[in-house]
Amino acid sequence: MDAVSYPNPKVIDFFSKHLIPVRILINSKPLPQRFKVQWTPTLVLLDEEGEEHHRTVGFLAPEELLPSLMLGIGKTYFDRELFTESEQVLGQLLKEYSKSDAAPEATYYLGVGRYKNTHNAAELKKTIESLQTNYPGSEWTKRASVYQLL
Amino acid sequence: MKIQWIDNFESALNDAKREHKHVLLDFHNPL
Repeated sequence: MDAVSYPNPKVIDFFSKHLIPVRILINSKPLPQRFKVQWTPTLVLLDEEGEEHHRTVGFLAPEELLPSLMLGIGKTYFDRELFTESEQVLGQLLKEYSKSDAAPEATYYLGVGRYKNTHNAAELKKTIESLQTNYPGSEWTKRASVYQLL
Repeated sequence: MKIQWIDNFESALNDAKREHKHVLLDFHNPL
């Protein structure tokens, strides 16, 4: 991460705009124990109250790190029932990084967030149709498959 | 330009509240 992803100008810009980044040695105390981290690199995204909403383990290149962080921010808003903010971030993710590994999960959360915001079941149907079209092999397409029955 | 890491968790939470940002913990091994 230090050699490839963190020096990337787009990554630096994203961190500056959206994140308070904290570096923690894996053999320090007490945060590795508190967050049950056993391996590096592990990234954990928290809200300002210190509640975890997203984590990744292992190396991510810039073109995967950025959408992963955007997904985490979108999930943070989703968890806090800020569905409009979540939709904004996840929509931007899908616009800029539609081929990334984070995109299918972002499609899922975008759709269920729209459903929770509107209570319109058509949003769930649209979600599974989008996943089947764009990410047919994704686990998130399987997880959304029940929406075909609506 | 480079990422401005901080090393104090409580300060990070306070900064996040003040700046309306999210906290990212990077657990790493320097070796």
